[in-house]
Amino acid sequence: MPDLLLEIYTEEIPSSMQKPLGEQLKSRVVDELNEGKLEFGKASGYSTPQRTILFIEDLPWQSVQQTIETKGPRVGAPEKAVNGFLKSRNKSFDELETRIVKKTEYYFLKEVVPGSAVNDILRKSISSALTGMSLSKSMFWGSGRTKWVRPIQSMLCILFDEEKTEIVPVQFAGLQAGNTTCGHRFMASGELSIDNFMDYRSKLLNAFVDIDPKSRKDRILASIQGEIHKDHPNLELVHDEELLEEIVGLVEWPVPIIGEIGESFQSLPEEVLKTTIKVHQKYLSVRNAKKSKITNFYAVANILAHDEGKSIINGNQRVLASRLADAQFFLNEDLNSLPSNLVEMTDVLTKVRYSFGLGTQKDRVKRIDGLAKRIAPILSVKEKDASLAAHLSKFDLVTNMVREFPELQGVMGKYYGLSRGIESQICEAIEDHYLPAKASDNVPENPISITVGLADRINHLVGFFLRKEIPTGLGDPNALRRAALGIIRLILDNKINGFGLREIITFSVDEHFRAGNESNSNSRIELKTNIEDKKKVIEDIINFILRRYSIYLVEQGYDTELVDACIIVPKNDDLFRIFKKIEALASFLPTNSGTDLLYLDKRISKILLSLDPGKHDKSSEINSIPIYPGLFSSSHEVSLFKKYNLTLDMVSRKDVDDFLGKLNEVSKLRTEIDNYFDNVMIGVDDQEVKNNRLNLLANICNILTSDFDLNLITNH
Amino acid sequence: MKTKEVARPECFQEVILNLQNYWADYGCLILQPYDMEVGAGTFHPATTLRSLGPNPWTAAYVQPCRRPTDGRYGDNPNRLQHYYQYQVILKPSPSDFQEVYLKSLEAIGIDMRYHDIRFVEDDWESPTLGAAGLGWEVWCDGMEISQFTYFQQVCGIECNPVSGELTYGLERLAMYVLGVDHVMDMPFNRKGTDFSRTYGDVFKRLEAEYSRWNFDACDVEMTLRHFENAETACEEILSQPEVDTKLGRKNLMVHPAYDQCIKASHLFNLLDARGVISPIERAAMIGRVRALAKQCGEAFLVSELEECTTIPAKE
Repeated sequence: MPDLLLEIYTEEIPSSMQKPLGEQLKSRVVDELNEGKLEFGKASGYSTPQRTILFIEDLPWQSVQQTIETKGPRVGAPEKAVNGFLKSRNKSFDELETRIVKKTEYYFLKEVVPGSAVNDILRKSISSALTGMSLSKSMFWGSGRTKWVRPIQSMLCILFDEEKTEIVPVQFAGLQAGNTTCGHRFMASGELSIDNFMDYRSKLLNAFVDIDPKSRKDRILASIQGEIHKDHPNLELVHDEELLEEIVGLVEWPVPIIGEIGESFQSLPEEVLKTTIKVHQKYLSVRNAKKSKITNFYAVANILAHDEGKSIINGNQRVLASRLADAQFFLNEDLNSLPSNLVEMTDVLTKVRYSFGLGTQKDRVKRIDGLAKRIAPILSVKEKDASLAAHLSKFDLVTNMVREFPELQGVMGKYYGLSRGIESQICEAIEDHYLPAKASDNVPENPISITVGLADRINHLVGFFLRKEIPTGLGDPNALRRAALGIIRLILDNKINGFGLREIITFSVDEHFRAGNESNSNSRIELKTNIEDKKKVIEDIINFILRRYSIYLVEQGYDTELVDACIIVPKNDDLFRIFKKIEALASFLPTNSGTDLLYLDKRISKILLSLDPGKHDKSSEINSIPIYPGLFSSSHEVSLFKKYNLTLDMVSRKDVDDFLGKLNEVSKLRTEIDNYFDNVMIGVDDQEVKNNRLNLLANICNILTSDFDLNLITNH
Repeated sequence: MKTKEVARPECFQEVILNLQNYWADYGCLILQPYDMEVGAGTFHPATTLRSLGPNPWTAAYVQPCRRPTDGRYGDNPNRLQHYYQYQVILKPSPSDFQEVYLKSLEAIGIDMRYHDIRFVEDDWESPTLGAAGLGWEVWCDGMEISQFTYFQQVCGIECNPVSGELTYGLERLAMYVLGVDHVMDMPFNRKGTDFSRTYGDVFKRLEAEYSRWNFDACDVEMTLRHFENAETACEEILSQPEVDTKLGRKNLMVHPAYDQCIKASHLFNLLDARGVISPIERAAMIGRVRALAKQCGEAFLVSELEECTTIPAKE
């Protein structure tokens, strides 16, 4: 059975786009083939900066012939109709067959569609897949009107088995696929004519192209480890998977070359070194275990140079040295010019705007300070520490280093803080109050960092909500979702009890309105929300956070309904308390008592809904509706009422956060409820009696409503 | 195209001359710098305006560029507020664009067998020109030596056909080729004669003077006024009647208007260097220059399409 090989040879495609491009190409072609009912084996993708490769195994040479059956008029229909049916299909009466469908006999026509050459099917399928690609970033080139990630130079597309090789003449972007490709841009020349996949791999390897990203990665690591082992026993590679993946997409033939970091630069802060080495130059860092410093780097070249890489590494060392000299210069400038009392820097922050309508960075710091002081007691942080950390949280934005290397915000703040004798815990907070910024980041544990981190994010959310700059759809230009997620993870991972969002957010909203009134031309604060809408904005912000919370928890593997049952409860604003509820409910529901609880809740809800729709809305007040024992006429009513009062009493004695205990108490009502429903008629004519009975049931339902909305659970 | 054996450059001007010769041989019009202060070679009307519309265009030129914020008083080894770009524009972009470019590197003495040349993702954007393109920075042994761009949009107008643009940072490239560490030490012409001068001999003093001017002395209020004047002038020029009564036919003053747009852009850069523009005002001013560029581009396209002076396409 033949295999298919497709290579799209282009100008350099960005590293991060190679994999998604290959994946999409594969799935589009596979979809096309499936739609054409073509059977095949494995489909695999490979890529290099210049090649997008698809390899599909075990295709047929011919597609299978197919029989298509068309239903015609029923037997006995007017002759005209039958003739029309035959004429439209160009068939004669003899070819008709009859069959009974739902007790009526119909005429049928069978048509045999012969199998066709798979080459032909592939040509069409691949062309259509290429045309139908949806590329997030793509471009036109030359006079053509076809879009691709970067200009396409040539295409190779062949169908082959042991015996023969056929070109599949796919047409796209003004090009027609052939059976040739070329090797490495600088180390090979001329066309390579390809017979099959084995041939392709080996000819390209000889022409200095390794098409398999995984294999390129292994080559890099093996070469580095080998050299270090042999020549540099004191060195160790700083492993960075993300960077390695990127580098693999930058070369067709990786050649790691070790370089040195000038002695004088080795004392730069490690983060500064790493940023320059990794972000700007895409080198792998190498640590000297003896000196416990980063002393070397590996540049991964794309060529085996004639001088064994001497010119290349000299050039790279020079570039790095010049960048590090810049960093050193700015660092020294900062160290020389920063005041001994760093808090004075806050005044310089007036020069930098925070965001339009939200004042300067100084205004921002002032608001973070207010919030941090408010949050401090919850985390047992000293107010003075929280305030100092808040004041110093943004000063590094106006330093030379951060202006030059924005990714070092926080890092430089900490470094300069330490240089001015600021306590290490506070310096730590300057650095890591920005964390977590992305999913892979660790969550800080230092209470001061947490305090400032929460204050910064709440201020951020409140400000943009008051400006009515709220993310819609996929866009989130002001990173509000990230801020909300940061709040969630800080509270959850650190198990922070008693963090009432409503109170803190209200405080921050009030601060904004106050600042708005005091704003002057220097720090203009223009909110787009009226003070009358204050309550609504506060609830909007809480709901925004709760919505992110619910998504986050579901991503963590919690059941959607269960999460909703704990989150969609009025006045809910304590994230860690919600988490405790979820844990309790998740462990309680699978037990027998859990089944009892859901059963009684469902049964009561059903009757309330059918007999008195609308009236017994969920209420957050326990025991809100009065019951008149005088109206009881059955012993079952009396015993249910007694049990209800007992349960209410037991529940109220429990710790507010003892959710398992509360759930368990209420589930014990099952027997009385069953007896009640079996023996008491609720829908009686006497309205007073009927209402009294419904009210009792409603109250039972309401015992838990301040914590849970069990009606949201349907799938247990 | 055959690669000619060329002498390896020994000084700054020879790097430029080799590039000039290479692109002249390729068939480019070798134009001269535009006589106005610009932030990048792209601003030259030979790139900005000529990249619009259907007519083929192939040109190369040196363009002095001013980036007031990059001034370092001539002390920094590779930062200058005034420097030279070599600019190539090929419209439509040829299918062997990368190859043609790589040969130009050979022409200035970069031997591909010894160096690691890479095309590193870098999507280019000029917010003031309303221009955007996809392409790369070209790295040689880890150093950026050129910008390589396929224009997708210029003056807010989609490019069809697409122009290929090359921008070489001449000082940096020459420093690399000549093995010089500080730009001011670079030989401007050949060493060893009475006429020999370094880059510093020519420019050190200017860098110091302009750095002071850009950062401290330039009058903010006046510059702001100039900016507004240029903006008004640009719009007024374009709002003149199409028909030139003296000539008795259409004569749209696109280039004079575009000059005012270039002027506004440079004045904005000056104000930016003075640090007096807040991020928000910054965005607003960029938007104002972009609006001018858009009007000029649209006006150019109208007259270009009307004239239909289609030059035959290059082989």
